[in-house]
Amino acid sequence: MATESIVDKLTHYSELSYILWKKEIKVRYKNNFFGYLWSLANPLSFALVFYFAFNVVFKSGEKNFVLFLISGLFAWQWIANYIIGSCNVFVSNGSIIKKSLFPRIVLPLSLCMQDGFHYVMSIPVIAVASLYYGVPFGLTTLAGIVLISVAQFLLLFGIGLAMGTANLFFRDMEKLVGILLNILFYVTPVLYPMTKIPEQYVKFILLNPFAPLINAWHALYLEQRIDLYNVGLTYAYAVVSLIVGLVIYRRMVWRFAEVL
Amino acid sequence: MTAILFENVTKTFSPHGPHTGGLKNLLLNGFRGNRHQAEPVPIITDASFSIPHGQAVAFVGRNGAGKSTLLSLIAGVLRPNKGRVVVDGRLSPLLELGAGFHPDLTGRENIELYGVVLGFGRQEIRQHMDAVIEFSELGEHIDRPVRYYSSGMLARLGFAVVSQLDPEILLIDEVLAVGDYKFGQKCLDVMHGFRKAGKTIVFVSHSMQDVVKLCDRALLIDQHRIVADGPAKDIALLYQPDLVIEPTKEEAQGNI
Repeated sequence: MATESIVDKLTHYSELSYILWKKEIKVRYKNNFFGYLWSLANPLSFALVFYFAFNVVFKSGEKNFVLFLISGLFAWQWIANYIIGSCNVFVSNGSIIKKSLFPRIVLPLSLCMQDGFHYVMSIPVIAVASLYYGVPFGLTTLAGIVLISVAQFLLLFGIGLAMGTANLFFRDMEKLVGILLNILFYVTPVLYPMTKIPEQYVKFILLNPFAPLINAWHALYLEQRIDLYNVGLTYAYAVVSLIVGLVIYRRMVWRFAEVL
Repeated sequence: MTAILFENVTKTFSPHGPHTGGLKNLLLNGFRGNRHQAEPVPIITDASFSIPHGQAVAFVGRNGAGKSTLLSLIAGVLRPNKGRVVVDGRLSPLLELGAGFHPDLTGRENIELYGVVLGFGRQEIRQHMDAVIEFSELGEHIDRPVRYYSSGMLARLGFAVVSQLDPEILLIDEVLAVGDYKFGQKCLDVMHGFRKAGKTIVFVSHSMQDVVKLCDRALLIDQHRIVADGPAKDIALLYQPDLVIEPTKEEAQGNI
């Protein structure tokens, strides 16, 4: 193993993550014909409920409200699914962790690839909604999707690495995470635009790493604008989360097989 | 040349580490609450041995003696608390039936999955795919999801992967017991072939017949310690005094 070059190692890591990713995608889409529709059903049903609550009952009068809702909700779906899933990513793969030596980091990595893939698969729905509202969906949008998706991927991967590791040692963490995510959802500008938040709270909201991320998505899909301030802030949070996640993971990884 | 080297290796587990109680207990008891009762339980105590390249070695001992822990230490899945483990060569561990297989994927897909988990490249796996399938004798079942496999079929698939993907050091933990007699013989033949090719085999089995047939050397493990180390035949008789050793083919021919 010591003689392996960096290139060999990276090839192996990427092949492993690719195979694990492919496996999950296959399992998810092979067993039922409606696999794709199922992954859309959840955020779409949320969008419907929130549309009813905010536009019909509260009469918020937000422009292009459905487009606004789904452009935040689909991204949130990726966030929530991944963070909840990452808590169990090492626990549920206990049997292979205990029985073979492979870089465990590929497990949360391929999980993030899967949830990212589902997000990408939901983009056509956003495009259709844009078309419906007469909002352009063009090259800027596509470039923005790549830029912001990478930021979201890195941000989530760092968090997932930390969560998966911590949940091995504190198995009830997932429950806490579920509650925290619920709270986070409402303090993240998914259902309301950032502009509705009173001035004095804005800086607190921006302490939530998902707030600039969702802001960036909104700016992209509704205004075809790559909001450099929010994108930059998301990348900054992503760097912090990657460092924290990697430090926690590297310190604990050798004990994984013992506590499983 | 040494394939596997153990120097004064000790492995213990703490049964009541802080992790077992979860966050709730941590909050209720603080960090102190859990620590005092954690008397570490020994799994392996002061094990030293070295296995040269090309040797076939069996670990023999009663349930719970620490054989599987030794294999996990060799595989690098566990780290010793004290001492040093050095392994030289690519490992192919088959430590548990069906570990690394996904029940919803077909046998063929699982070969690829298990192969990359073991550290082989996709290119290599593709090259050996036909050999693996042929060796497993699974026929048309290879394209069926693994969830419908019997434990014997899982053992075939697992052994086919680790044996056909060009291993250097083979670790086999009792998984062959579930295969049928013919397949068991086939596995033993393959392992004989490996020995001739100068590959290293570490084998855990309760079948002393297999141990004697396959291995040059055996270690007897009892109460977490290595209590005897010597030629397979002697150790097998030490473990199972009423063992009747069948003469090997060569011996049988020599006697006639």
